[in-house]
Amino acid sequence: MDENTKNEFITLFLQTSQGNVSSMKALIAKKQSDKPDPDILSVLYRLAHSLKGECSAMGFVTTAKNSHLLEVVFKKIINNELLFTPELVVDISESINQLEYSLNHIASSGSEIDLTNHISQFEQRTGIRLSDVR
Amino acid sequence: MKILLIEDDPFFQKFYSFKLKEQKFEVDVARDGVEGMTKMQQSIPNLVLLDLIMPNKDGFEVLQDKMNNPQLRDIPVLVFSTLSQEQDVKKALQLGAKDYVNKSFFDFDTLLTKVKTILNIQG
Repeated sequence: MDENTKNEFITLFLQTSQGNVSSMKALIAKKQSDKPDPDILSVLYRLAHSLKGECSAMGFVTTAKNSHLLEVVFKKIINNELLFTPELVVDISESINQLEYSLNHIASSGSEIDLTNHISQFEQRTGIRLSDVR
Repeated sequence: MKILLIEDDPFFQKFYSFKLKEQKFEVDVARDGVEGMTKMQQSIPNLVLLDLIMPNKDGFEVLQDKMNNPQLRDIPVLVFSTLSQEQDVKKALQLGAKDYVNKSFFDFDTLLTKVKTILNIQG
């Protein structure tokens, strides 16, 4: 693959992933009650899954892990294994913001932000350990 | 050789289409499982590359529908996987998928090797 083509794909990766983050932000902002809409949760789950795949495929490891954690969180809410509390919504919103910062950093510098500390704190608050997820 | 790529992510649609066409494969793209089943029946491909988590009809439902259709049952399927999808891959293999491959921008060769092995293409 020549450099121009490679750059075109990196641009497409950024357009797709940043678009997915924007969609997640818009959907989570719609949340009005403690009873989340199952259809919206399914879309949020798929968006987090897509982001995980996109970032993992491009080698942005901690951005992929943060997306993975969001994917697991949405799956657990869908399966009634995690309560959709206002505190959790704040954590989810912060996690989506971290994704946005990292993608913006990739766009400007080519490298991701290390989200290890954020992921660790989010894991502690939700009781989820990514290393246990199969 | 014709490959049907069933994938909802526009980035992976374009990336894998481009890379497979470079290798002289004919590539058709479906954006979800419903479109994938329609295209599979309209023109039977030599191989299906299948994403698992998709809207409308997911990859597991595609595998199930395909298995229940005698005309489509024997089309080989290679499923895409990403981080921590071991259980999903196991389920897909039980539903008749031939093999799986991790999505990667930097490792197309593994996918190509598996495609060529399944299609019995030398070199």
